[in-house]
Amino acid sequence: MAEILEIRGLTKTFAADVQALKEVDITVNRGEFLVLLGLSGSGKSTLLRCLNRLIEPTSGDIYFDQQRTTDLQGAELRAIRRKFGMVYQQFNLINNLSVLVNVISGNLGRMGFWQSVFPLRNKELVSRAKENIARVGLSDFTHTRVKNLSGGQQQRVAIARALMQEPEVILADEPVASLDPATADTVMQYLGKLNKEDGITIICSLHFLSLARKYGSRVVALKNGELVFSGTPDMIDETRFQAIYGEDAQEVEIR
Amino acid sequence: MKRTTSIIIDFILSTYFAGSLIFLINLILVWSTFLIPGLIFAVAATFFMQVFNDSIGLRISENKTLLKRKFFSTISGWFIIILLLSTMVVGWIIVEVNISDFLLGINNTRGIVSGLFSPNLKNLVPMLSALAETIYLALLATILAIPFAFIFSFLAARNLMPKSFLGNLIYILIRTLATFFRSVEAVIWAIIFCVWVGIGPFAGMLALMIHSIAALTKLYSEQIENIDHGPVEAIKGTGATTLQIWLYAVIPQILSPYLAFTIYRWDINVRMATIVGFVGGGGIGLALQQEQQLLRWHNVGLIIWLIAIVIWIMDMISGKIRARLMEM
Ligand SMILES: Nc1ncnc2c1ncn2[C@@H]1O[C@H](COP(=O)(O)OP(=O)(O)OP(=O)(O)O)[C@@H](O)[C@H]1O
Ligand SMILES: [Mg+2]
Repeated sequence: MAEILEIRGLTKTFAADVQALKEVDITVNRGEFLVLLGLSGSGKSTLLRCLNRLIEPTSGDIYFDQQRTTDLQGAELRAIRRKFGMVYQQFNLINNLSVLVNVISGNLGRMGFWQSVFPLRNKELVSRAKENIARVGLSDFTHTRVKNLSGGQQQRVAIARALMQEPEVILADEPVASLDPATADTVMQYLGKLNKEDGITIICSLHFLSLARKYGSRVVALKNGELVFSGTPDMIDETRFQAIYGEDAQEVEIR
Repeated sequence: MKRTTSIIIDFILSTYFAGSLIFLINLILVWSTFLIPGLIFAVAATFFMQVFNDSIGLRISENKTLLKRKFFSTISGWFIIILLLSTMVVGWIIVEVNISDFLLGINNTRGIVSGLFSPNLKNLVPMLSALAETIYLALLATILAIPFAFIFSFLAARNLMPKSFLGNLIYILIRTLATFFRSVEAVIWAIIFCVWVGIGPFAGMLALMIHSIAALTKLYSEQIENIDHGPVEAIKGTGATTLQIWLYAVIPQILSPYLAFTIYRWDINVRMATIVGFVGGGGIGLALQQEQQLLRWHNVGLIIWLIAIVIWIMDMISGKIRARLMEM
């Protein structure tokens, strides 16, 4: 399998004593569904945001398709960000705007300023946005304001926005942590479909091992900013589980 | 460090108290009589209170053991009471409060009161045109202030400016200027502009505009600092440029509060326009000043009614619109 991302010695230090990531090495293959596990504060969000440089790494290198991304600036940096769609726990949509405009905003990286002032004039752009809205099953809500949608629907809008980027990788930061179990599974199914049908590489942090087992093709785990596990989901037994979540943790509580 | 701060506070308060006492004795504060005894008193009082670990300065710097004690069993507690009392007494004397003037002087207001009850309606037309001048100058000042305040507010929002040297410099510069221009009252600006462009509504408009730019910049930029950062991050993550991030993630979040603030500002500007007019800024305020100088109380009465009605209507309209906007 061809590798798409190579993370070498990635370190992020916030304040002098807050080391969110310590010398993390991960290789991600094209087309993988990589699940990121770890306790709260273990550095999952920081790792994901270093990949599209929403957070600047302190040291270490990231290669995307052999290209070193850690020094890119300006237009080159924006071009790399375009290749990473991102989905967030809090959805991070623009609540006052319609589903359509929110989805179109995923394409901003390819639009000039004036085009982004009048996005609805571009027929081709609008029809592509509508296709992506249809893919997440929200065609009936195209012109609804996002704030009037349920949490699960909002996360699907966020997925459509990410799709609009025509991304090679989707970074999902606890995409289902604020949804109920049934809705969570629906949203995960959409991510699974993008992975299988479009071959989009997915890196997704999760809190539920059951979801990791169901959707992940590989799992990596962080603990206090260090990589403590890398393998297939079924390799996580009692011992490994406790290595990730601590001595006292029991899987029943995490499910 | 806390100790030093508390000593400085105590010294300032003791000096103030000594000054008050000497003023009460002489009814005039002469530096030569104050300097030696006053400073000796202040130093002694500060030293005394600090030695007993019981002073206002220590209260302010949150000395735990002192704050636990009963208020009236502490020296500092009593000192606070005495300071408040002496301030009241000194204030009473300086302000020349005179109850009998207040009660007996009411007779002198007969002219105004009768003017209020029988306003000179023959003057309604010219006064209405002066009133229109006031409303228009307030409106124009508000509208012309919007684009400036809009742009400045982005540059004066901490969460949007890059944390570089230049970013900080621009932030501090705009914030400081806005604070300065706001703390100079519109009346003062009106006096300046009356000299600059001559007496009339244009001077009043400029005064209100300067003041509005400063006030709106502050309100707007605080609004930007309160936005939800999530969408900003998400739009940035799509590969958008800074301008696109502002357009998509910032502006939709601030638009309706901006409108609400702006309408509120127009409301304030109509009120201020009458005052600004009084010092030469045109409109109904200028008319009020002229009629009052000529003691034409029936015209003054008419003007006061007109101002009250307009402000009442403005208040109602702007309140309604703002309530609508807040729901959005
Ligand atoms: N902007 C920041 N400034 C300072 N410290 C930060 C910042 N962001 C994260 N941290 C710290 O870095 C560490 C890792 O945080 P991170 O958000 O990556 O963890 P996480 O695994 O995503 O946790 P959670 O499951 O709660 O989302 C934490 O100790 C956190 O306090
Ligand atoms: Mg997180």
